[in-house]
Amino acid sequence: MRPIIIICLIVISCITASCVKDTDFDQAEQIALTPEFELDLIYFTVEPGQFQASGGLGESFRVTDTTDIRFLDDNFVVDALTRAEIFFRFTNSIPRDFTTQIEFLNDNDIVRYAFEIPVAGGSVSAPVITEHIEVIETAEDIAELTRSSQVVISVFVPESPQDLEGTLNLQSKTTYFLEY
Amino acid sequence: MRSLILISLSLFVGIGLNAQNKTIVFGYEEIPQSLLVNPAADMEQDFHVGIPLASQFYLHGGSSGVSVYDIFQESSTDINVRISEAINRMDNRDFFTVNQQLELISVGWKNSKGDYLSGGIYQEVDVLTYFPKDLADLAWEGNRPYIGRSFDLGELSVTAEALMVYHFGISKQFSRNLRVGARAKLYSSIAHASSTGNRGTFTTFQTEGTPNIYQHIISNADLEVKTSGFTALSEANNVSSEAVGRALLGGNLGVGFDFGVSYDWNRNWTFDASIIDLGFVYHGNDVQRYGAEGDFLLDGIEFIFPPLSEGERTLNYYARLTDRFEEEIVRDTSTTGYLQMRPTKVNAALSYGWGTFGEGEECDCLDKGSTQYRERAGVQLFSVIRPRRPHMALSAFYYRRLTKFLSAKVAYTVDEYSANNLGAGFSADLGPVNFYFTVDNILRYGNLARAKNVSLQLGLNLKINSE
Repeated sequence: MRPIIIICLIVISCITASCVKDTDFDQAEQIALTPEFELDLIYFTVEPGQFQASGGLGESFRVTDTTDIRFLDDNFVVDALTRAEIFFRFTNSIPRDFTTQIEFLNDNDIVRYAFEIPVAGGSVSAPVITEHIEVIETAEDIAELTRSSQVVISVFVPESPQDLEGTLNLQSKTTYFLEY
Repeated sequence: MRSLILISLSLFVGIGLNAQNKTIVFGYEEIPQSLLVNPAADMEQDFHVGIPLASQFYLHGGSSGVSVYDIFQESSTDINVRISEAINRMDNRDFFTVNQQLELISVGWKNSKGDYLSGGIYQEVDVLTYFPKDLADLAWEGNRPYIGRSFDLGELSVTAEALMVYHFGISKQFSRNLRVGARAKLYSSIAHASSTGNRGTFTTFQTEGTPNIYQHIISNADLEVKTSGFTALSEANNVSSEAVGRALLGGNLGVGFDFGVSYDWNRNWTFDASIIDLGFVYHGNDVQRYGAEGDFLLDGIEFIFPPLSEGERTLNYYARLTDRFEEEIVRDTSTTGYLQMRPTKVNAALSYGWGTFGEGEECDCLDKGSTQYRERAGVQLFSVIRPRRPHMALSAFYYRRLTKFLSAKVAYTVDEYSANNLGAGFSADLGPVNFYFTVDNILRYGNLARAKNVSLQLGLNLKINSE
């Protein structure tokens, strides 16, 4: 029996000597990826001649356009989005102040989140840059944003800019703060 | 995602650096399974048969860059900080690997010419993934901190396979000094997946003069995932019977060879070498290949404010964008067969033997039928060919026959990531019953969580001599 005893002792000592210690696997619950993604949004360059009278009595002149943004109401984004910062940079060389309205709509064209940005007038020789960061961070606002699938941008001006020179340029991006 | 990370860590972390580096078993001729590491191994018995399903269980895996302890240690530091540190510490040369083998049948016998013939069946699972550093940074932190950095999509490199191996080999004393061996193998693939040889970059640029704030560019992308067997397994009513059917030559087949040599330079010095799994599997059955190729630039959506009539919808910018993506990043699905090279292993050892076992015995060690050396020491080299480059390891070993029934071997292994891997094993012959047990990374045995590299091999055989 001596050989068997020796073998058993070796194997048992190997097995009992090994262990996993000083670790806490419950910490796995705390693992969270928190990436921050930058993504271009809308851009345009509009000329004064593109503004059309709007309202029954021609109370203002405006341009408006819209697009789907299908990823906003994606289940992953709905679950993971914790904050969004939408950055707008207007470069205005038209000597008019504008009001820009940004609306996020759901599939039924119902506005879920909207805000306005006043844009200062400039000139061809001295364009004026207006920057705005829309921070969306409350749970309610995030929920509204992630119920949206379209964005509408409208630019208003009370007096006709059609005879003026210059352009209004927009560049924009969104920073998505995710946690999953 | 948390579950995915946990499963990945559980699978990979803490278990071999160089999968299938059977440092202890190589050249350990008391163990019949050493024939699978060097077909020229010189068996001392006349006949052996492995206990079915128990003659060899082997598990080897690991992580070159991180241990379980690195991530899950008891600490006041947030686990996410430790994961960030681990990601920052690792690079795209790091890898995770798992290799498992289970022998079903093993049998061998000495013929009238003194050649040792052997054959058997074993099942194998082999998984290797390189750490995609760029993609990990992108997933963990996003592109915001890395504007202008090109993320290399080619870092995605993963292979995984499950197969059954049928083999038959011969170990032959070619001359007084030279013993040679060869083994033919038939591979029956159960399932295989790989994505290697990818290329392409993803970059977010911020440069003056562009229409929008950024330009997101996928450049020169060429990605492919090849799979076989997964559709059959996932759609089978009985997954087990489908897997067994594919293991019993019902899936994709391949052939391979092992070659080995053992040369005695003189009474004391011996050189052993082998090349294992020099072969391929052709996947033509139940193949699914998914590819994507092309270049794409995204700078947002440009509004053009088209003049519209009442009720008229504007342009469908988003659909145009996705359509352009589909056109420029061409995705392809096919069932075209493909060839998969097996991960070929090379072993080599130079050793010096001395001493005799048993009082009064004279060693005539060039006569293979005589007393074996009591002790042997030497160096071993191991290399396995992997998708990006060979993984290599260098070991120093010491073998000693302790008693008539018991022998042991220890090895100290150095490779490109670890310089303190001490492995050990023993083989015991209890009458006709042979039991062997080997482990790796003993220095981490007190707390396996700290080990980046652990392997285990054990088995039971019957060894019978006609005398």
